[in-house]
Amino acid sequence: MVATGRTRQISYERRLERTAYLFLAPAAILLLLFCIIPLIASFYVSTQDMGVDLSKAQFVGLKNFVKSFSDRRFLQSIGITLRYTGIEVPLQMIIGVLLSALLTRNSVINKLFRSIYFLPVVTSAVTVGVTFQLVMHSNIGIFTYWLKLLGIPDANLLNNTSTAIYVVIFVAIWKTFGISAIILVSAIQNIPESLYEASAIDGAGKAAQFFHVTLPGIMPSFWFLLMTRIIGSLQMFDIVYTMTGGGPSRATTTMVVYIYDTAFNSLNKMGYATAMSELLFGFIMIVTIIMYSIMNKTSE
Amino acid sequence: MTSSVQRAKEPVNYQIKRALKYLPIFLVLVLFAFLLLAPLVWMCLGMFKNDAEILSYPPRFFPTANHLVENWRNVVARVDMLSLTRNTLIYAVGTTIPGLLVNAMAGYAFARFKFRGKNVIFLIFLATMMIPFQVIMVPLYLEIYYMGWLNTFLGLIVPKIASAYWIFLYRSAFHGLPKELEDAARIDGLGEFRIFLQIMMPLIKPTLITVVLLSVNNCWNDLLWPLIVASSTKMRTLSNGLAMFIGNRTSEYSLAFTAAAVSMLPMLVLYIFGQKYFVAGQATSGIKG
Repeated sequence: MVATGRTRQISYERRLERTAYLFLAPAAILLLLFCIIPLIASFYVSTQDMGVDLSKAQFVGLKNFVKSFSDRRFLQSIGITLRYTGIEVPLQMIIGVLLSALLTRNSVINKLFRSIYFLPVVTSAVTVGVTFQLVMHSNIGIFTYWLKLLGIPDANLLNNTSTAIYVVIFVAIWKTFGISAIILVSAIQNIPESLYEASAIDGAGKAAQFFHVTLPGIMPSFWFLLMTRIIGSLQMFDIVYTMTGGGPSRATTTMVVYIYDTAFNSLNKMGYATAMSELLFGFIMIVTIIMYSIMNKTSE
Repeated sequence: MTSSVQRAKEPVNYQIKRALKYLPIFLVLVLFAFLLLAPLVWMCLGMFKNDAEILSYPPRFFPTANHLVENWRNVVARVDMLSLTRNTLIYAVGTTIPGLLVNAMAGYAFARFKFRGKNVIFLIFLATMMIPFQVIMVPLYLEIYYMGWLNTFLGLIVPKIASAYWIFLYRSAFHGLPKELEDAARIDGLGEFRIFLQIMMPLIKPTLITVVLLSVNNCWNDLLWPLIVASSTKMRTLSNGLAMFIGNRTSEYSLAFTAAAVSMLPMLVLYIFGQKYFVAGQATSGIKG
């Protein structure tokens, strides 16, 4: 009796296990085909000198990687990407923290502001790119005109090699600061009220509470946001592509824009482009690991 | 002893004081709202203006006459908006609906079943989220090219269906449901797939709505992938179609305004009705870390 009971138990568990695999199968197969296999293939592609035609591919070993370090355009794109990230991310985080602190309470007016700030989540990069091309346009742009009223005449910010990158930074922040702020708002709201009460009893003012209760309380979300913002910034593509196309004279050509151009636009150098994208991936991994370890240290 | 008059006055003073304190905060919030809305509103209003009005100096914010119909006719004469919209819809729906089932099933398996290799498989799924798209875009393009799927809906849609991101959203949604539900259904003799589809799925409706809205929005706004695999004139979606149309920069600004505004409006409507789901999707992604 006991034996049959146990076998039935086992076969029941086996059946559930089989069901689980069946439930997983479609997603697993798709991810394998269109994510994991391409990843593995990318290591092969990056060692080839090749275009679309695989039969003309030539094995070049690590030459693609070596070449990239003396490719002036690639080095320039690294510099632009780093500068972009170095300015965009801190500004984004400061604005995010500031606005989240101002918007914490669930009043009607705060909810209204939150839904306005969140709005760009539904605007496509193309819409944003076109909008700001027009808004910043040297003749017809409304911002250009308003800048003139503020005393900055003939601002042609998008066609100026030294200012175009700042327009890209402005637009990138414009598109995502609401998301950052709202993620932080929900983090603040999750801080237990008792912590504030306790600190008030200890005589802490609003500012002291912000620095000693709010900021430490939102640190996990803050780190997560910082990490995703850095990773996202290092991969900046679509706003640049639709707004400036990487110009004027390559002043806004970020790494991914250059990689895309190399692979699909001018020369179809797919092997070389993939090698560069792997360097970017490696760099992102290093940044992620460093940040992750700092995060773990600070939260201990 | 404070008189009762004084006591009654205090709240009023208090209110004024508080309002004055709030004023700087309010102004900061208004400034950001203005910077955010002004370009979008100006762009949307642009679709009512003709070229003469757009070029007039100083630029006007509000249109003086309605040229929408005329602009729309010009856009349609230049780009096949109907085909762009249709392709975008097929891409969005074709990715979202099968994705709903495929990803929810996987999330369900992770949340509700015990099986060998669960942790390893879970980690592999997790890792796919960290692979930047640019690393796999060339091999993926070649894969689609050799499958003969370039410039087909299959090529556009199938690689985008499974997404580790949605699988995690589903996993945490299914995680919270009581175990008794399943057991009761099993005792009633329901098959595992029917338990999943008829009992569990309806219980996570908010997550389903979130995923549908975000997935449709992602596809609608996606640029890089359609740019790579659907570049032929017939297959273009709104995003890459308009990028090309406006990329060949004409001086016909009214067309640019109109095309950009019109392509944005459906998502704007989606946002107005489903705002809380959009927020929920982003908020959970924040908690996940």
